[in-house]
Amino acid sequence: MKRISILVSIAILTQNLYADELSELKEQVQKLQLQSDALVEEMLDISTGNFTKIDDTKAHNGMGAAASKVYYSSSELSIGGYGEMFIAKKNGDKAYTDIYRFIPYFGYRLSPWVIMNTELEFEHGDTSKGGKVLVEFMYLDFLFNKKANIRVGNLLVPMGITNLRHEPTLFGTVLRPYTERYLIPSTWHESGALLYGKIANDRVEYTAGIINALNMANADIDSNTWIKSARIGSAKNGAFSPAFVARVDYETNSFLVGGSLYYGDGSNSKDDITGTTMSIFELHALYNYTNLSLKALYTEANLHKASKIDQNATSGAQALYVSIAYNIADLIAIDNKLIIFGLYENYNLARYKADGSSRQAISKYNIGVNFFPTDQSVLKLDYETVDDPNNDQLDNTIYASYGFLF
Amino acid sequence: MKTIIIMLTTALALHCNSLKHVSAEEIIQQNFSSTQVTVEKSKIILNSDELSQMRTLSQQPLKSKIYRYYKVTSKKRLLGYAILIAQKVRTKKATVMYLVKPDSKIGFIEILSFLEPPEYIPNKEWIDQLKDRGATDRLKVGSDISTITGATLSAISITKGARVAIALYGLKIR
Repeated sequence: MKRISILVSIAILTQNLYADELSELKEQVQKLQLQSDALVEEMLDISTGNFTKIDDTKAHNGMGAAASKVYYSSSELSIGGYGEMFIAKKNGDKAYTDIYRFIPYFGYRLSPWVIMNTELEFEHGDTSKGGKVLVEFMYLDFLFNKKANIRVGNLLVPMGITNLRHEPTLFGTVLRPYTERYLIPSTWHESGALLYGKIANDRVEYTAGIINALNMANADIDSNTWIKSARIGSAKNGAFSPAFVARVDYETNSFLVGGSLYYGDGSNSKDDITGTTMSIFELHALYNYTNLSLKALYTEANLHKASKIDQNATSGAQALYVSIAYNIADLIAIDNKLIIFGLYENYNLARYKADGSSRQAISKYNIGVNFFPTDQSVLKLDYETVDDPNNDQLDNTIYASYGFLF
Repeated sequence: MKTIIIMLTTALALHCNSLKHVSAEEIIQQNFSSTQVTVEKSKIILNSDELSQMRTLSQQPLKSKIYRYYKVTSKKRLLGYAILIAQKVRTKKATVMYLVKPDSKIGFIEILSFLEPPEYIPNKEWIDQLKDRGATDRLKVGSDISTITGATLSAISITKGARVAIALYGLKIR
């Protein structure tokens, strides 16, 4: 009997102990559940961002009411960038490599409607061997609504196809089209202020404003690169002279057509040469149909009263290019994009010269292939032929490169 | 010049007053303007096997195991699930809300946050192409969904997000 009562007492005691432990465990599980919920909620808020809406019922004085909804994330810092490097072999020359560009972006949302954006450029790898480091843009965006926003600072000049969207995954050739390297001197960035927005149910995008003028007195007189060396960019104590720039694009789902215009003083330096003006205009079109993509651009540049700068200065130039690209991934049943492309360019960087002479146009052909291991990276193979009748020279170059975005 | 500065300052002041925070629930309600809806916030946590299935179903190299969604009903009738997907566009992220209807097809799409410059936001006409697309559609930019000429990477990112939302609905919500 005594034994039984001892056993019963032990059982009751053990049960009480287990009940206590169980209750404690339940409490701990509840705590952990709450902690886990809080962490997941926090993670979801960070990953999806919070957002702020512009109240589109209120009109902005002189700016018009917002036509449609615009949401902005309240996430503050954003980091991104792109890079590209290549190896090239021209005619019988020795092959060479170039760590062409590494460009980090930093953006910071100072408020829901004020954003700072910067792009730093590291070009050609080594500053002691011809490389350079520069600020490629640094601006503040004041986001009012879709119809009207203001961008102030050192910014990309809104001309051409490539200057605004110059990441290596967005064009087929290893080097950007020469038309957009020399006549629209990509990457062309100047200090200024732009008004921009989308109207007509987002079909029309416009930009207009004032930027720092080119200094054509510093342009390449031999006309090999002409405008490229006339950019002020982000130079220290760069002279400032206002030039006007405007752009309009009309866009449907598969088609975009547009044009842009630049007009300013021809000379922009502390020792100004007065009485010259510089104008550039371009027309461009892009078309996409399923896996086919077409691009075309025509541009002209004119330096009026070029003789005031130099008797041998170029006064007029002209260029055009057309490109075709086709993604053959579906044809060979692979998931990665595999694009074959062709590009034809015809450019004359000295169509007219101040002394009355002129040069002949240069023809350039590219064919190649782009393979995208991911949507954010590309491997390129590009065969280029440049036919320059001025020097009776035919250059053939083969390029291989990779590019990426992050 | 003085007049321009005064006008600009006034515009900025009015603009600041017009900013307000908006919740996902409000955005959902705005898309059902004529119907009063009830929105119930929830989340999905995938285990490793489910993440692997999601990768297969969406054909995306997904990393995240957690997703936010909202159940949308009206008078106890299910209208759909609004799923938030955050993906990289060009070099920066965007968060997009996809409403997946009970028939597994996209009802509406709202871009909630967009860290790229605003010129990269695709227009409404392009976004509307994805409406009424479902799990049986391939949803591939180029062959099935047209590429937007000025914002190709935005088009790719938003289309891929649609695939993820439809797959999440099929695997974890329905």
